[in-house]
Order: sequence, then structure tokens, then C-alpha cells
Amino acid sequence: MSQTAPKKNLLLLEPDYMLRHTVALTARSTGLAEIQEAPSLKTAEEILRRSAFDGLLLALGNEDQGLELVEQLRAGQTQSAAGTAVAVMVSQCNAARAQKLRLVGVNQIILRPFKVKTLLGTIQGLSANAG
Amino acid sequence: MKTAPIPENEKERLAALRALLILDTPPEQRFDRITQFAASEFDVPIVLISLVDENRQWFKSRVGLDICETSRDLAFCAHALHSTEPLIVPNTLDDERFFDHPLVVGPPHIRFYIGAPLVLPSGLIAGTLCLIDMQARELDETDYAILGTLRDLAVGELIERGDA
Repeated sequence: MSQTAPKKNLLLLEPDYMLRHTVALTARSTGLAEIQEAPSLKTAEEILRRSAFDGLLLALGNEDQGLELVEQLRAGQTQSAAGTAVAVMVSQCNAARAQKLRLVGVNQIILRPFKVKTLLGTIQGLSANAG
Repeated sequence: MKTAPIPENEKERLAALRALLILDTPPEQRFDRITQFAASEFDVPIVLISLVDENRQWFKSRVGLDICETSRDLAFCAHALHSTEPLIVPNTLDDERFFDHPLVVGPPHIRFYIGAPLVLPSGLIAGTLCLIDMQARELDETDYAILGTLRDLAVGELIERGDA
């Protein structure tokens, strides 16, 4: 999984410590990407205000808490490019919710529960799409 | 069954293990969350943080196993003390060290084992984070990387309270 291209910088908003930390450390050790970890929405907002990223992986709450980050990103209100790829992690998703997420500009929806391996695959995709 | 050879640095290894002050301590959530996460991630019935003492392997954390220790003679993990790389046994029936092991020919009929050595900062190996299955299986490169991360987290917790 090691790559020769410069590592991409991704933001991971995920409240679960084991999942978040395992993904971040494994992505780093394999050369897949540098992952900035955010355990909460508040932390993610702060990080997005001061740093630019090549991709975002965001855990959304059941009421789509966190989606405002995507809206801010797409509106050019963060340090990252407005077209930055975004994947979201959700516990449930029906057609209406999927449509809502796509309209906001979500590129990929990941349904829980999932494996670290799945998220690493997504990171690989986001990194590749980031050029 | 082949009993694992004793590492050349056994005296130093045991001293480092005991300096961790962790043998025979109660279960702790900081270790259990690692084994529980590994069991879920790899879909294996047994995950252990096994510390190899002089005559036994003692489990600081365990998923899928009721006992807290076994004799060292029976320990797959004792075979993993000789390298910093994981010891993988994709199918115990094909491995001359384990094909007639009591835990292979009898319950729980172990078929798959991988032990990632818990390498302390001193370079000495305290034990393993190991995955056990009753079905033969293979791991890919990503699986190895994830297991390596979980091993590193376990080592981090071990050295947090000891002087390794």
C-alpha cells in the first residue's frame, strides 16, 4: 500500500477513539495519507478554519450534525478548496437522505458498521481523486 | 507438537516483562478495547494480549477465552518471541510445530494463529497481540498494517505504567 506520491492530508471526524486512531495510524504507517483526527464536530470546525485538506471523512449524527461542515466547504468558507472530496459515515441511510447528502455535495456515503479496512479503501480513493 | 525454544535474551526479557508491573493485574478497559476492536475488525473468535512469563502465558486481555493463563509449553505465543515480525500460522494442520498440538487436535481446534510481538522500547518482546480462529485463513497487506497499529497501541498502554 505504500505510495511514492506526496501524502495527502485528510481530516477525519469520528467520535470513536479506537476506530479514529486505528485508521489514522494505519494510514500514516502505510504511507496512504496523513490524517488529522477530530473527535468532535467542534474540533473539526476549528481545524477546518485553520488548515487546508485534500479530503474530508466526516461522521454525521443521526440528525445530520456535521453536514454544515460540507456546506461551509462547498461555499468556500474554509481553508480547503471548495471542490475537496467528502465522504460521510452514517448509521442509517434511505433514498431521501442519500439525495439530501448528494445535493449538499457529499461524494461518498459509508454505512455503519464498517471495517477499518473499508475506511482505508475510501481514504485511498479520496487521496487518488485529490490528484 | 514442538515446544518453543527459549530466547537467548530470556533473562533480560523476563526482567523487562516484570518491570512493567502488569502481570496478574485485573482486567483494564484500555487493553480490553483493543482486543474487542481486533475481534470485530478481523472477525475472529479469540483475541489475546498474551504476556509470556517464565513458565506460563498470562492474558492481560482476552476475548473468547475463559482462562487467564496457560502453561508456556502450550503457548503459540512463545514461538513469537524470536522475531519482531508477526508469527503467522495460516493453517495449523500444515505446520509441523502445531499440527498435533492439544489445542489443535482437541477443543477449541485452533486452525489459524497470528501473533504480533509486543516489542518494548528496549527491543525485548513481552508477548503478543494474537488473533486465533477455528478456520484456516490468510491476511493481506492491509490486515497486517491494521494489526501492527493495534499492536503498537497495546505496547503504548503497556509501557505507560512500566519501566521498559
